[in-house]
Amino acid sequence: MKQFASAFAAAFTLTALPAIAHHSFAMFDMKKDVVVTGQVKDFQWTNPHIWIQLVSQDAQGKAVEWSIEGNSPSVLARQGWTKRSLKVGDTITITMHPLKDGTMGGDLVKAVLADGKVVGVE
Amino acid sequence: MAVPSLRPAAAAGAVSRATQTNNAAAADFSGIWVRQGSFLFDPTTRDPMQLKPPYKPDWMKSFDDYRKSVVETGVSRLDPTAGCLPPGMPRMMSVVYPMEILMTPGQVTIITEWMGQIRRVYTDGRKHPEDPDVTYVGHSIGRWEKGVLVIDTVAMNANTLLDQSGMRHSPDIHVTEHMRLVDHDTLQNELTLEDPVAFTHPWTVTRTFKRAKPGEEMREYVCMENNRNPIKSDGSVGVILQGNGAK
Repeated sequence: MKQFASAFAAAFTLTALPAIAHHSFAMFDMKKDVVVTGQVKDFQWTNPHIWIQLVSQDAQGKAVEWSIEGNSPSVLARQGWTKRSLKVGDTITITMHPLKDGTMGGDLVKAVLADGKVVGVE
Repeated sequence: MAVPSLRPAAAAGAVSRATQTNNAAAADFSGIWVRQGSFLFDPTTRDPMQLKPPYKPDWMKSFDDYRKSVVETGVSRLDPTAGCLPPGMPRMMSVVYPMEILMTPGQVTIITEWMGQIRRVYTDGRKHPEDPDVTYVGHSIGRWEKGVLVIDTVAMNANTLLDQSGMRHSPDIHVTEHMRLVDHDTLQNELTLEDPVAFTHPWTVTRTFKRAKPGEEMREYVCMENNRNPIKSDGSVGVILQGNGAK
């Protein structure tokens, strides 16, 4: 039971802390980080959550598009993000918790610009 | 003319006098407030397994089965807010993002940024309607007791949860709040839930809010603007991928 409790706490709190409100983040593997470098195709600064469409190259050199879900503009703006934090064509490195089903999506952990600046950190 | 909100203009003076009397010991809660503690109904825990709602046995079993299933499957299925329905009362008093309180004669208005819900607490001395329609925010009347706003809320939609853990309530839920300023920058709200259908006895928690930083503004939140997290047929939350990653 204790094991369950801690697993549950992980499932709920880890998912709950970063974004939550709008929905559970149980579809993401919060224990795993995936780091991808690519070009921003679209930056959707929208409610209920922001989305980054990132095009990177897979192992075969083929361009693949990731859909990366972030927090709400409400939370991110209070952390220093703005609608101009990312522009189409920017090369960025994203750390995300990937979708458990292995498809091309993830939960945003961190975005680093080409000059090494972490978005949202002064 | 039995409906208080349709009171004729000629009665406005009486309402105003009642308000002044009723507000004699009013405090000023105006401003933007940021919730402290967990976003679960009980602010002292972030772990749904630690929640101790005073449920009757059948309600407790249902909640226990659900929270265990979340542990075992990693899938939470119950939350109507995932589909952009509002949290309603009492959940709206414990959600993420700030709330703004406006004080006007005869009314205290609470606006929550998340889902943009508006709650009107009538402090003009009116009673609840005899047979109120059920709404997400319910019907709230308030009175001042030495700087404490005592709010009584009825007629809340039961197609809501108490929080993200999956706790439900019945349509008979009754909420009493005692809201007070602890100091200029600290607002406290003691919430008591009574639910004769679901609970064996009332459940009281105390939540704290801190005043937002100077200059901070409320933001718009339109949930359906770009909701790429549809609820799937099994009730779990999905993700809409785009581009060639959607294949």
